[in-house]
Amino acid sequence: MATKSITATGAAVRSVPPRKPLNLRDLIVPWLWIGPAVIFVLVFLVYPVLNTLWLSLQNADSSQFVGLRNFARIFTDSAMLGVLGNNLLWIVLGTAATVALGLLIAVLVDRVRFEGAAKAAIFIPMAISFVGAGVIWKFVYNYDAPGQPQIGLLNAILTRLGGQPQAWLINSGINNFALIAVYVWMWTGFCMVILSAALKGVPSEIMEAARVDGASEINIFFRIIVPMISPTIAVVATTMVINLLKIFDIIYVMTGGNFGTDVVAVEYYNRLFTFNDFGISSALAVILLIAIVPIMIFNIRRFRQQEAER
Amino acid sequence: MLPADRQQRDAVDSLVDEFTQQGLSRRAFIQRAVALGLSASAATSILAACGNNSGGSSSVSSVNLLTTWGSTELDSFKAVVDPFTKQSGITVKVDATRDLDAILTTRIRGNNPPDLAILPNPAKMQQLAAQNKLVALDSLVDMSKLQSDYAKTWLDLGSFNGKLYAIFYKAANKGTVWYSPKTFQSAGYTIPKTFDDMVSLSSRIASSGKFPWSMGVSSGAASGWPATDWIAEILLNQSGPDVYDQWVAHKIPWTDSKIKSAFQEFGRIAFGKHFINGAPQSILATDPQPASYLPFKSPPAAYMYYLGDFAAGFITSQFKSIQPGTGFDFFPFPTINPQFQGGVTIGADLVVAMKNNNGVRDLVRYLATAPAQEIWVKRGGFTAVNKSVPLSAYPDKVAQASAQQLTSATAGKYGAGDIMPPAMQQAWWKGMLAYIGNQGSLDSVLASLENTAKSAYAS
Repeated sequence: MATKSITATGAAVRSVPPRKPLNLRDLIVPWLWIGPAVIFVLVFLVYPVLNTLWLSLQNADSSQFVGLRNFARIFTDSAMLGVLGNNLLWIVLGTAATVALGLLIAVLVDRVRFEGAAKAAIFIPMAISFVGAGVIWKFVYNYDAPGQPQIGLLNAILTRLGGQPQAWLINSGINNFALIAVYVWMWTGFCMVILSAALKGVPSEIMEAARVDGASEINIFFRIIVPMISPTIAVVATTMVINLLKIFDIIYVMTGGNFGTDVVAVEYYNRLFTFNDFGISSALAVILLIAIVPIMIFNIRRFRQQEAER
Repeated sequence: MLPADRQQRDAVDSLVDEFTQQGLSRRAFIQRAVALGLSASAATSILAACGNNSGGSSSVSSVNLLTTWGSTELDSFKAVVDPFTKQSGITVKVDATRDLDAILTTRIRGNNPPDLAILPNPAKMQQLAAQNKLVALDSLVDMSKLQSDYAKTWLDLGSFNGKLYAIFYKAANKGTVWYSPKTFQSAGYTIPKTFDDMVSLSSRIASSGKFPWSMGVSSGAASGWPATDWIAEILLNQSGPDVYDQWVAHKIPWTDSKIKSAFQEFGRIAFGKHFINGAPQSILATDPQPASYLPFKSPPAAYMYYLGDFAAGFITSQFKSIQPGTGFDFFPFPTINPQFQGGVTIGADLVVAMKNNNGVRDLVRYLATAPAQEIWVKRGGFTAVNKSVPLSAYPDKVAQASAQQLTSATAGKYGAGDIMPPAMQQAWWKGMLAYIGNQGSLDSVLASLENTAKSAYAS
């Protein structure tokens, strides 16, 4: 990428930036190119972010400046702390499960003949909307009183095996896990496809060499495959984390945030549209934004590192 | 190119607005559209798309209406509107959504409100009227006709600061306990007159190994509301209309013993031993509609079910051949305190206007009339508060009796949750879920509701 430029005398000089006198054309043209993008970012990103920040420092109907009181309310209210805790559970479990399962399946189907069909089957839930998946799984988890015909798949199996039907979405010991399972069902396919592509990029010579040296398949997986595709794993994991921070539809459709399953995005929606409280809802949005920033920085660093390696 | 295009599009949009809402003449429209760079033929076709507006005065060819009604209710409403469209040439575009609050907030904030909305409760109406988002109806409709057709209570509930903003349209009687007369007769049960009778009948049924009650409060984001109906109905019959009003206006705290005892009275049913199959989880997991089926199954899976008169619609749609009066019927909510006998809580959908044009005017006037309401009354599932709608218009004895109970109620009170601030109502729904899930949590539920009330009523 070294720049080469021609001086007035015609001699080639390496690595010296051009020092032409700036004319109007040079000043304007770059801005014309970048202008639409800048305007887009300003109007649709910077302005809303600043406005949300400003709203988060005001009261419910934005008529009075209250400083950080909205944030103080969020972090002192035990119900709100529960909401934040749920989000944390979603991020940790959701990311771990989708990435781990995605990787496992990618490695396993890599070795079978019907790879295409298997991958397609696992990828298909991706094509269903969150709301659609929520409705489907609401039927799977459906609970009817004991003795009644169970139309929920899970409870039908459970009672057929002689167990008692469970209220999967109400019982606060299991409902969060039941909801996260829906997300995992939807997104494992996505992780699998991307990781599978990365897997194909691992040179077979290295694995052959390892096998010749007597490494077990498990050793090959942990010592060769995982380190070699770790950049891809990181990308997939950060995508999942960002996805999960914003998780809304599954919970809204399946439990409405009741029975201890509330998350930040659902709470934000309720505060804004039901209570018309612009202060608290903006504060929640700001918290989400701040939570995403470190992941973004991580992503950008990673990206730069990769660029530098090229 | 793009910004110029967008500018032009905006200009055309505002021109169309002017044409449809302020009655710009056709010629002026075409002249100005051509001035904006449209071809004459394009301008004419836009005009055609806007509908034929030959009058020129402030006239529209369609109005947009937002509602929460769906399926059967929506079909019935369309049947009501059809004759209006035929007569006036104004089409009514109905947007149906379960998420009315969100859509309405967004559209109002975006300066693009619907012409009309059917709100499911007056609290939202009060909120919007206070924000100056509604059109006062006093000048739009014939007030003297309204005053003769509607009881003063309804007009007062639809008013804000002395101006009428809403017309109460579709009412629901929430003092009804559903049962099957046939089943009751063959089992030798009698209709309980008092709450204590109802509990002892329930115990009797329970002791014979059957489940006396069906209950379901799951309802998506609004889960818990059927249980709040229970509490409101109990409190009205237990402590009377004055206490009810004080409670709704938060003049007495949620932790008051009168309110607590209403919750406990509800608890006698909800937590009754062997009263509800699978309780409490089945109560939380079941929607009110499927819950209403249980007493009418054969063999019956329950014997009694409490929900507003709209439950009749659920029952008849599930059991096509069921006979009103013998197959299903209701008994009035039993007496708790003889002094306050016959108290009935009521729900209603109300019509509000957000724009003022001929379409809105004509439609509001039309919907308020008795003949328009009779169309829906005859189709079933509609109780009118318009006094000019005759009882004979109701399709069957059960609907008639319900309408009669509504008009003759000694104390008809609007459903408490629907007139509390939205934040309070939502907290109450959630509070009911917590109480049903854990009977022992009553004190902490009430304390937390009182906490919510302090901020909800302040704003």
